[in-house]
Amino acid sequence: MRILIQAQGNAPSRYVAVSCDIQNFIRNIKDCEVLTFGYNEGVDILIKPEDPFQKVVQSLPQGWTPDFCLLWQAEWNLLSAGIESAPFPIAAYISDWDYDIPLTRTIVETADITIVEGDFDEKALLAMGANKVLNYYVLGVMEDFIDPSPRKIRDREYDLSYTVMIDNKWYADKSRFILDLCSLPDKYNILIRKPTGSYREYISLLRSSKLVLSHVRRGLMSIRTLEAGAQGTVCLNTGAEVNKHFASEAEYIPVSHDNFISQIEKYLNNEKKLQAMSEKVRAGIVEKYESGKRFKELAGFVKEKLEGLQTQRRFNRLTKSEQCIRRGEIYYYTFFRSVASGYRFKNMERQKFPALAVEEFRKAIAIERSPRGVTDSAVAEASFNFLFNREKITGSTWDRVITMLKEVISSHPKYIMAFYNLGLLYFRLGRRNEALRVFYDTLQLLQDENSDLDPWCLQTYDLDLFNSILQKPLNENLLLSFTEEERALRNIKGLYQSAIFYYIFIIGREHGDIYKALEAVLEASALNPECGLIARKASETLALLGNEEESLVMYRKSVEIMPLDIDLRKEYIKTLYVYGKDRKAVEEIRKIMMLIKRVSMLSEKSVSVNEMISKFTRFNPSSPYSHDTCKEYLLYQWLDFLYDCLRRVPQNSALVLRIVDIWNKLEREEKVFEILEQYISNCKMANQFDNTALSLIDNVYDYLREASVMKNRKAEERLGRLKGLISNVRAAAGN
Amino acid sequence: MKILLMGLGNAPARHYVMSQHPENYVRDIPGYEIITFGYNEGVDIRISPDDDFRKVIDKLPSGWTPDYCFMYNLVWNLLPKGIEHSPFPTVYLALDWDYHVPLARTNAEAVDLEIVGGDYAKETVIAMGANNAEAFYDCSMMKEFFPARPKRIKDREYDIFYTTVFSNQDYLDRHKWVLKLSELSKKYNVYISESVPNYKEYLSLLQNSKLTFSHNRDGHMSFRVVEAGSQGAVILDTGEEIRKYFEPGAEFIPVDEDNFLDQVESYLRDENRLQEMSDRFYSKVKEEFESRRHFMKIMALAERAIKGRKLARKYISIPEDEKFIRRGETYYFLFFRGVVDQCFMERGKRFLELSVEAFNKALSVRKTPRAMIGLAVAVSSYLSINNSTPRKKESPAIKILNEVVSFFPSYAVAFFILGLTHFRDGNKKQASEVFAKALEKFRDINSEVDPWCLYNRELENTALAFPMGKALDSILLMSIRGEKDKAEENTRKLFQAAILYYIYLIEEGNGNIYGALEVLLESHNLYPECGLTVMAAAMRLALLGHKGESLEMYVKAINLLPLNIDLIIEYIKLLYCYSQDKAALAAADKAIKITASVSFLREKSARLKAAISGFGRFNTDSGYSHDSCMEEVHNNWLEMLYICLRKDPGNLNLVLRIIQIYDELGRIDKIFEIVDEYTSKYFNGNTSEEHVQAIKEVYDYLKGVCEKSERFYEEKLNKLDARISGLQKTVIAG
Repeated sequence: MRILIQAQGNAPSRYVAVSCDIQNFIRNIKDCEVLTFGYNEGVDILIKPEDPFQKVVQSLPQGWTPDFCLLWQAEWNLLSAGIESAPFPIAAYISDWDYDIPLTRTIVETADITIVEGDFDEKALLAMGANKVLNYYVLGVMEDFIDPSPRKIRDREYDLSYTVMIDNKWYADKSRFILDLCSLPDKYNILIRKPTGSYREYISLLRSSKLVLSHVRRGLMSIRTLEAGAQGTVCLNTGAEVNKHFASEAEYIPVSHDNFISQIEKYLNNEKKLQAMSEKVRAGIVEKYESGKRFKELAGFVKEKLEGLQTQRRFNRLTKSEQCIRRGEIYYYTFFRSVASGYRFKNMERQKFPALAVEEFRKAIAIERSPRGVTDSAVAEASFNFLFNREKITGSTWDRVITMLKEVISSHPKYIMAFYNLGLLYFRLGRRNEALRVFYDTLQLLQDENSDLDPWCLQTYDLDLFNSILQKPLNENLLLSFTEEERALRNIKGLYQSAIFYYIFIIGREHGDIYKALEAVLEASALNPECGLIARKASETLALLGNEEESLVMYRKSVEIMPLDIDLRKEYIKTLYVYGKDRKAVEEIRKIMMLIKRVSMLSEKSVSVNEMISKFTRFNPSSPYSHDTCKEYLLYQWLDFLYDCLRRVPQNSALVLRIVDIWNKLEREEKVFEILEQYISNCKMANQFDNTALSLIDNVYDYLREASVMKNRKAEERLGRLKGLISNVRAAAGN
Repeated sequence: MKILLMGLGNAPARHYVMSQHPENYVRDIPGYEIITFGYNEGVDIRISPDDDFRKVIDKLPSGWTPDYCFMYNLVWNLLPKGIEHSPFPTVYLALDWDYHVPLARTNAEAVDLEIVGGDYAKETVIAMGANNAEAFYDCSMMKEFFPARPKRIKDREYDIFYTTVFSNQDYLDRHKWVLKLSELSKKYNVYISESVPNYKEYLSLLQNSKLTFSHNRDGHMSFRVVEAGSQGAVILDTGEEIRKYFEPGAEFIPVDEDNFLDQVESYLRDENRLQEMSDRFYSKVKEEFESRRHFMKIMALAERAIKGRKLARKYISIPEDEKFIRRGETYYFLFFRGVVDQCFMERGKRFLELSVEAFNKALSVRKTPRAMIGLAVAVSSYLSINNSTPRKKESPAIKILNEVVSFFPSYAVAFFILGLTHFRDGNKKQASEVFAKALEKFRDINSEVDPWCLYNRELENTALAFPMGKALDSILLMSIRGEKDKAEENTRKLFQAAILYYIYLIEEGNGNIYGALEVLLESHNLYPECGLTVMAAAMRLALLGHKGESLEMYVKAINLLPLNIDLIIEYIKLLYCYSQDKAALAAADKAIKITASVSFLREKSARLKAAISGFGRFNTDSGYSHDSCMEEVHNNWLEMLYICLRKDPGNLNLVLRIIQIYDELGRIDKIFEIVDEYTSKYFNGNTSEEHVQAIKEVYDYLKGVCEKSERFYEEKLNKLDARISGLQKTVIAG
């Protein structure tokens, strides 16, 4: 059998997840002739990102025609231009396809057969338009990494290990399992750490662990199940797919949040059973899941499925303009996904991919000036400029992009994405007033049932803010749109509304209009309640403006969304402390201490957490000094921010009152005098006196009169006391 | 010719500066048969870090004997064990050899020929013990990276481009040049960047620049010269060595501190002349510095230098235990250079384990203080890297070090390392005691100071560690070049400065901020070039109210660390708080220029702007006079002082300083509060009259202030009353 494989050559990724990279195990497979192609050195046929697939075909040895071409982990590589016209069948193996649905859609519409590893994936990709789907577990463990004589379970150092990335956006579900692990009794030796170090080190960790946890979204079986099993390590598995390959409770341990702790304890307390499971699972892997064997079997299946298959690649049915748009998307999304980090594309000139994307979108609009084509083109061009011409944020480059978006608005006044992107562009260029105007227009359009929301419009991946608040939910809803279009569109509308409210919040803050900003961020949070960033900003703003209870509720919500964000937890605890909620603060301190103790990648935060606690004066009663560092610090921070706002809106009485409130908490009456006088002068100058202002002034005046009397009385008493004390001490010394 | 080439295999570093790694181009040089060996996947013969070189020889194809074994830049790769017994000549091309002088010495003594970048380096490595050395410019460019026709000078985007590592404190000599370049940024398009994403983008930046700046600490010709030439960018060079290869004024622009600005202006004014230089420079580089041809020149040089010479490697004759020590050091330094960041070698704990093993072997031959300290340092690094520093029981490193100080009481470094190890383990009390002894030892001219002894390298890049590496290397070079007495004097000073610095940290941790400052100033006097101590001293002087001295110290700190924008912001804020507005504005203006032109400092411009916007006196337009900067600086001081006061609650000096700050903030209530709290516990019949008098002065002050404030409030309230009545009438009247 002859197979042409798209691979990643000597990219750094090849040496990290070694058993996942096809080039590491295909060379010695009997009866398989393999040639590789790709964009990094280390492949047989090296091509450039702009080269058409035809170049690969022409570079094949004379007379060498592959039975099929396999795009290995196609979602992490670049789909070659023109591959839809390949003269032989195309198979694409994809696993992390749900991060960028537009990219996946083009891959599955191009490949004759898409290989996935689970039922959910099969259904989803068929709905998405895949020409054909093969549901088969592709991965295996390389022979080098199967332990010939695994250590006995009882001799292993760790009871349980879990290597995992903390990522509140993509892997929030994993954070919950980390929390579960942290609640295990202290007697167990648990290691939770980042997946750093070489592959061999990772394997060596598996060999030292009795149990490992494996959790993948969509209920899939991760390769960790095999990697662990190959070392005789038993896997705790949260998904359903594993059941197709291994026997539950005999070769792996099924777990959910409900039974997590009890399952772990049950098995760790029965090492004999664990030992038997360890041996059984390893034997199964040796027999069926060695990488080479697995691949050979896969190749056979693919060949069989392809026999007689006459697919019409959907991609070929797209209009020429749409094909260019798709290619533009491919370059664009692949850049952010795989090129920018250098992890999968080595030594690539960074500008190339975004430049190729811009070129493709231009080609598309040269054929047909569709609203999407022009908007995508503008978005891609703007991204390019933000990435590579950041310093030139004025001038004709931007005028051109703005004109393109205005052109769509004028020719297609219901096309929401042109409005949204124009607002966003103004926002990013610092043209905040224009941005506000366009954002309000967009919000209005989003309410209009006859408006045209195009969910496939190019997403601004170069903007971190976009990635934090929209990228994941937008992709989830794009996937949903294949089965429940109406619901998905409704959700997407809500998401864009939420994003716009969040941008309005930022502008409001910058303009000093903090009360309006608060309204906007609360709207944003209501529309996108899962977004940690928005919830956190809402909590902060509520606290800043003195909405005690609401801020604490919102902080709790933020912590639920981002339970492993230690800085957020610290902020929450400090707010609790300043509000005098000491019991709750202590409870939260206990939780944070447990996290930094148990989760190795959080341990570096222990210094800052201890420092924070040391500033809680009420919790350190042994010191004779009552100066409350934490309270002072937080209140001054708020004051700084509020004064900054007040300078922009000097007649804002609500702000003045809030500042007075904080000065009062700090017992600084002289500052209350100061701000009141200045407020009166400001209002007078602006001739803006009304009853609200007067009533504020009246109230503050009354407070000041009372406070002055109290202060004088108190000072007199203290002076008297001090004088007496000095005399007494002197007298005692004299005696 | 048959060459056995030591390589990096598939290590990421091989692909960063591709032309500098012979593995990337030697395969297709006609007449050369190359076999590679090394420690990473991707070489022909792969060995483990603990394998003997003999293993490589055994794996060579039968009958294949190399003419040379060629090793490229061993400072970033591992000298094979037993290479000193190689049956064929060994050549080592050394770059950055002066970063770890102990490593450089071992490498120099082990190989037959060391090729270095210039005459200064050649003299030094010979003095160091090199068996044979030659000076040769070691940079080249692969033909694949020469553009067919470089972009015309007039079409290039940047007037001047400079890229290099700035952030590390080891490269402070580069900072002054960055400052000079940033001064040009208003007039010219200057691009200063610490890093470029990859080699291709780097070359593309060179091709987009009219001039490229190059500077090497020893006056050698840097890589940048040939790299720039290959892309037709004309070089501004600060060194002498370049004159051996290129013609000044025709192929490159020589610059020094005095003529820098004039030279840049004069050449950028005349693009025709620049174009001519660019063409000439490009042609010469293409002709003489193409990598394959260059490699052949190196081999020819090796042949000339080695042919007919008897191979007598100094390393063979050093005592057995010393060999193990050297091996231990090599693994140790390499771990931190090439292994930790995974750039040159696969990450692993192995190197530190091997280092421990080597020191143990040295000790089995002979018990010397250097071997024992080496072992202790390696063990403690190993434990720290693996997060397994014992918390409760005594660490193995402490045990070894206690033995050293007891067996070798005059070996001063042992006391320092013991103190440091206690300090790191969190045993501050023991650390303090041992440091005091260490200080005595280093002050005693009869004690033995050994600058070659291993020290805790993993501390070098941590925020609070006293940086010793570069200073120690300079001392070792001084000693090698014959200035032994001066080297010893400097060693004593350096270690004392380090010890005092750690004592300062302990004292401050105990709340004794006044004592800590004294010690810190002492450390600074012994080693005034240390940026860390100058910064800390400047800040503490301000904290304790020493206005003039703190400003002076800030100026010193900024001279040492001119690109530290956080430090400059601190200084500007302080000037503002001391009402030195003109100086504050001038310093701010300078800092703004730097952040605008140095790409990696651009992110600091927001902090700088935020700091300036907090200057209440400069922002009076809004009608609100709240002064964020004053409040912030004073509150930060209060926070630090209260931390100390809680640890040393009876310290009246601290209380008085806090009162002073409250006074500046107008917070009379807080003065009452702290006086109440202090007197309630520490004011009684045993209190000295001096302290009683101090409190009495505070009382008198408070009395005066209260009287004033009573009048103040009364007047203010009356005024307000009148204004409010007036306003009410106005509002009612509409």
